[in-house]
Amino acid sequence: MKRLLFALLAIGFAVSAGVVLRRAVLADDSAGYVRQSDGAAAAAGGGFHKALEKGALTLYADFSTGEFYIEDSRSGRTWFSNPEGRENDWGSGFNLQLLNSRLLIDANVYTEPEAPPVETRYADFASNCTAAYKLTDDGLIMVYDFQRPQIMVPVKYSLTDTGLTAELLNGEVVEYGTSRLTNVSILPSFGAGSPEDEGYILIPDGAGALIDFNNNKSSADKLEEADVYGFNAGTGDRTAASTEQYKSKKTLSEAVNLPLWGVKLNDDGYLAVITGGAARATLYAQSGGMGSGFNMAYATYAYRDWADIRMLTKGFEQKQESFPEVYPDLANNYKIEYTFLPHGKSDYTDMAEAYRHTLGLGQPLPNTDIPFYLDVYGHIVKTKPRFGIPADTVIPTASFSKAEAAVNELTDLGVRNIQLKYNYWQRDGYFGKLTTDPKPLASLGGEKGLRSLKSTLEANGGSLFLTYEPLNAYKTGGGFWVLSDALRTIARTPQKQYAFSLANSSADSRYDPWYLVRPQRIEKFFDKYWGNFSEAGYGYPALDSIGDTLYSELASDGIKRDEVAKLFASQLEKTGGVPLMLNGGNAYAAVYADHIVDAPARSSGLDIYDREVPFWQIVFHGRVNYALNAANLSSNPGEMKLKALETGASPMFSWVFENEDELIGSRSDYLFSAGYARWAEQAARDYAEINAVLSKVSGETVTAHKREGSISVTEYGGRLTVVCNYGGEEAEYGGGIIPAKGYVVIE
Amino acid sequence: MKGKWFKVPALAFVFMLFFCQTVPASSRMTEAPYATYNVDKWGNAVPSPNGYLPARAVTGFENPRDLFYHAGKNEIYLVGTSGVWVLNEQAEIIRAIQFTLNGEPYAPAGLTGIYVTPGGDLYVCDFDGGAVIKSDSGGRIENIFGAPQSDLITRETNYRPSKIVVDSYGKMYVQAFGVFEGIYCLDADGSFINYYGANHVEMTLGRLALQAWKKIVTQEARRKMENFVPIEYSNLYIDETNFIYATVTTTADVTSGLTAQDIYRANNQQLLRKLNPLGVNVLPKTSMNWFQNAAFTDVTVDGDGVMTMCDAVLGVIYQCDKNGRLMFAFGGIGAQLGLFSRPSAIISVGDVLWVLDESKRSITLFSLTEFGRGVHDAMRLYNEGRYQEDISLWERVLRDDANYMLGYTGLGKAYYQLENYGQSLYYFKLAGDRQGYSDAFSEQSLIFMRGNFGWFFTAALLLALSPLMLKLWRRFRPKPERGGAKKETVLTRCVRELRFCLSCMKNPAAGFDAVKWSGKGSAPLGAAMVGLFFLTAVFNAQLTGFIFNASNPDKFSVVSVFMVTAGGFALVLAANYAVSSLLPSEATFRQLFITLAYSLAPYILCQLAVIAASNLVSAEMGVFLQFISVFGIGWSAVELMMGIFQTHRLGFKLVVANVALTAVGAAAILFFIFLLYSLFQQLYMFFYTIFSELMFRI
Repeated sequence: MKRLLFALLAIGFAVSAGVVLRRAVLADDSAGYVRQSDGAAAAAGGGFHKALEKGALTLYADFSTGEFYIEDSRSGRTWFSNPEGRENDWGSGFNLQLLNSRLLIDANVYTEPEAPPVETRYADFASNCTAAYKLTDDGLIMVYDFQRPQIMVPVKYSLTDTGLTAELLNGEVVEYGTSRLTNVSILPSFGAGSPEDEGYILIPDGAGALIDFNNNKSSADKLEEADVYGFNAGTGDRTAASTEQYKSKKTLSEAVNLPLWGVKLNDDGYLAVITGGAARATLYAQSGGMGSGFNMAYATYAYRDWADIRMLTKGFEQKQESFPEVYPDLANNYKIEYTFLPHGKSDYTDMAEAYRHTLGLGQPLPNTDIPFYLDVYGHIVKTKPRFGIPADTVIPTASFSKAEAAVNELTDLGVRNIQLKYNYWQRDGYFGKLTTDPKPLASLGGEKGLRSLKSTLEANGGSLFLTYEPLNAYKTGGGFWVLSDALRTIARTPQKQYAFSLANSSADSRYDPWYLVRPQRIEKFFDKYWGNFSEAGYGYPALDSIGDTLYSELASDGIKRDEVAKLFASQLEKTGGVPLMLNGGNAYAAVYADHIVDAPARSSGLDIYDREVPFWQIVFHGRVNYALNAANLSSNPGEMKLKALETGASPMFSWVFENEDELIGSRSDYLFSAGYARWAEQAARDYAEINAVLSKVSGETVTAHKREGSISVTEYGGRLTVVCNYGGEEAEYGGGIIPAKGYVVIE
Repeated sequence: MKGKWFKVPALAFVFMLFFCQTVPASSRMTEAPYATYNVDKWGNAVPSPNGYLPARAVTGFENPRDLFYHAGKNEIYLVGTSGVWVLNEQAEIIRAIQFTLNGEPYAPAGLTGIYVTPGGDLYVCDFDGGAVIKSDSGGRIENIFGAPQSDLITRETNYRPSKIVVDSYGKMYVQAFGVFEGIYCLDADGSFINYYGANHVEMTLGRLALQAWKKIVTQEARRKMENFVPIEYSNLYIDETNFIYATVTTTADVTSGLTAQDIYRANNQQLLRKLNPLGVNVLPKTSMNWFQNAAFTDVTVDGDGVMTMCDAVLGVIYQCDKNGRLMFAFGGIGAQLGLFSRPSAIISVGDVLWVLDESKRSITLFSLTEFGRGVHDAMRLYNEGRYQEDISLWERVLRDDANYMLGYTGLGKAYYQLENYGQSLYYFKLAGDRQGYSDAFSEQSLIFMRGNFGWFFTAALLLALSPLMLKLWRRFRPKPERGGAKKETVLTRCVRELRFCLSCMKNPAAGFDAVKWSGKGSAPLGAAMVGLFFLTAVFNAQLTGFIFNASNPDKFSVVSVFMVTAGGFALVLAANYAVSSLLPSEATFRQLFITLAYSLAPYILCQLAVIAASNLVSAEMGVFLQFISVFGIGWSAVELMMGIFQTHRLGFKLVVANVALTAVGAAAILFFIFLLYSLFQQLYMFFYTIFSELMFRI
């Protein structure tokens, strides 16, 4: 017993000594850091000093606080880390912190012994935070020492040719007390717009949305917690506990697909792209009047993400508990690259141009016939009694020969470049096992039928994409074991996924829960499948989920979310050489795709937004082919044509060719209007109309775009303009009359 | 693929639910932040195209409380707590109404509701001021009605008028806060007439029992069971024919000590009412089963009787046809365009729905989609009696949404009106509309009867003559040779045993006496009877006519039917045998088995007859089928009692004790099975907790 006590004491001593040592190493000037109170800095004096210079940009910093401004000699604009005139602002509390700080952190702090820690916010300008700085060859490093939670956070600023880079040095964060760092917000009020400024904030929520400066909305409308790449299924269920959130299971929203935000400030503007740690970032924005007079947008980085798990109390009652990750992601520094847009060229189309540059998208597409996306559903599985015993029964809804006949008919109707996405074409493909051995379903016509379809499509100028679901395992088996291969919670228990009832947000009892594949195992299953699939040569791959689902495992042996994004990217890279089709438009995957279906068509329409813009489409048009949601499943099929012309999207139709009635009451009941016969001719007509316009500019970028009431104007490649009128009455634009629910092309 | 029954998912599911996280499946939006849904014939919510999409929201109103649409003037009246504004169709404020009393400006204390007469007179509820203000369209106050006076108004609460409608005779209907007796119906001069739309108490068996019980219980408990069923309305809408549509709220009643839950239970399924001039709800109760836990705050009705309600709990807008069948359900709670924080008023301006959100202080405008227009058009044509054109419209609706049950009903009704009963039956069946199906079925049977009258007449004649013919046959049939007993074959034995079984039915005392003392009865036939019992249950689910068959053929499982029938039989047999060993009984297991099995015969025969008849009659005959069914069960029960009496050789009291104890025994066995099950479950949970705890700590 004595010995044990001694050992514990020894360990305690060693740990505290280590902490003290580490702190000493970082904070002492032996590492080159200077404190304002130190001699060197005192010699430099208070106030702003020239710290960095590159090209047209010069950064002046106040080393005692880290406050800085950047002069851009090209535009003559000065960008402030904290807005001018904030002294006179009426904001208070948290809003005051936002305006005055360069760095805001949240830490999980033990306030009382024996009590659980409490997440608390700290700002760098408060009295219990001291700053030290170091100038290196390529930048300025500010280290903020928060004495209350006992955490030191180093941030590095450097200049690029076009802007500023702010980087959190994840590996050099020191937690020398018991508190743990959870969130970091860098430069929350950088480039904020004052009450007198005009402009807007771009949020790439779904297709994209704008928040006007000083939009007179209520502070309850603030943009909060817009997770980049959407909900992380690995963080558990934040929704089970609170009633408010519980209701929201019923509602739908789009995710922030692109890791960026933009600010247009009068005739200038900047685009901020999160180039490191994006998958752990969350966007925040507020317009003037929402807590302060300033208009600002910023991102918060989850240094440690929180996971919610349901636990059982001693009395076997359920309780919701939240835990932060134990280990942060040290491999990926959180990094924001601000690009200052040229004076007078700071619209959202210019932001898209700048972002396209960052993404390094491939060559322009040729100006040819646009694709016609044919989204076909091969079969469904329904439980039906067989000899009185309920059994899973395969019901074909689109055999290969029927699909072939449809392709021929569409070709006769003048449809070219048919890109056929075949869903549920293989056994276990319908909410089944994780397949590794692709085999065309015999009841659909088997391998022979599939190959015949493929050659027919190629004759048409199109191609065949065969769907694979690499992330969702609806049934176990086929090498997938729940205990080893299913995504785990922070408590390492398997994390189930549920389908919800549309009516009351409880789990839909008709469908069994299922699992996501553990990030560690994704590669194993994908490699097996991809090997077999590419060998068989049935067609090209269409990968579901990867483009709009990103999760991570928060347990200490898990894989971090940015690593999972990289993992996805490396899987997609393996398919290089053949065309690839994806669902959804998350940036980490979209750059690898040749075709994207179900691209974000709308923004989430949050109350704070003033306008919706097709920013996503403006980024990708002319580089990647894409389609929005299927026209035949829309409640306004007539409007989908206008939408396609406005956003440069190709038309898509989701179809079945037989046993339509069986879709009722099946898991595919959302295909409520998928009868081919009803839509074939209309589809061909729509395609002809859209193709006549877009084929001329399918390789061009969108050079200008605006929306005014029910009118939208899109300019492609600076030479072709499409004006669409979504309204029910004819409207006038630029001297011409736009018919109701119609469009006009100006060349 | 293996059958579902083979796995044990149900068991596993219950266990896992406690430990697993619930994570929403992909919830990306395509058109709106909500998934519009409908209900299928089994009551499941199924996806539907959107009937309405949010067009835009107008914000920045001062404490908005109510909306009113004046169709004649094409003006929208917006009531805020401090005043009334008039809006145009673009939701722009055209003017504010300045109230004046005798030329002096008048400031109401806090407005909550408004009604504008076709002539343009305004009635506003001054909630905080405790008065209803009547003014002309320019705001000149003509009258201020204070609290109504009557002996019937017993509550001592402040008068808080919240919503008002006025009928074409100038009678005012005022919904006041904290009044649970109904709506105040006031004369044009403000004098109290009566409570309108009060809950009517129907005298049922349950209520009689309750009254008897009341005599026993304490004063306080009696108070809670007061004879009157409280009701508090939340909002009113009046149509041109003076029918009042009212939504019911469920706040707690402090005076009578009733909780919101009590009141909700009392008014469940009648949260929306269409009150005739007498104040009686004319909406069928049964059609309103599609909302769950709703707290409607307002209702609006269009020219076709289409009702649209908003619900403050889930933030959902429900639209249903004039019979209360769901057309669209959409919306939700959230900070997105098309979602609400607290929807509190709704009006329909042409095709556009305006929803006022008290908490967001906004008005959201929802426009009808192409699909929504299709549904509305089809409904209108039916109301106008243009059935032939209506059919093609409903067919288009169904092509756009195969899940749309109302479409099948619509086709069924249109074909019914066109007297095409075959088609009508087909669509009513698809819609799961049993009443419609039954109506069409009656008509079709009538036509069939008329067309084949000759045959029916002949058959009836033959039936009437059959006793006579039987008698004749008996007299003149060749007599079998006497003596020289024929050797018994399997067939003749079967016939003999069956006849004995039937004789037990006719005369249980003699029959079971023979079982007891003469070793009569056959165990194999007993087993066959149990088998037949099981088959009857199968037939009951599979072959009962559509009108009377509520089971889902896709969900049918022969295994569970077997468990219930044969398993149930075994359970009762075991319990009875066990009980017999306690009581002074002389029955052997074989005798018990035969008694129990043979007693099933009347039930089986009657049930088979019911199944056969259910395919031939309409819903109105249901009570006869029920009678036959109950008759069969009663007969079986009597036979069983007699059987027990005979085989156990017990007195009457002991027979009763035997039966009662058997029931207790069976319940005890079931209880033990469940106990084992839950013990197993607890054990599983225990080990799983340890497992996950370990996983978490390591």
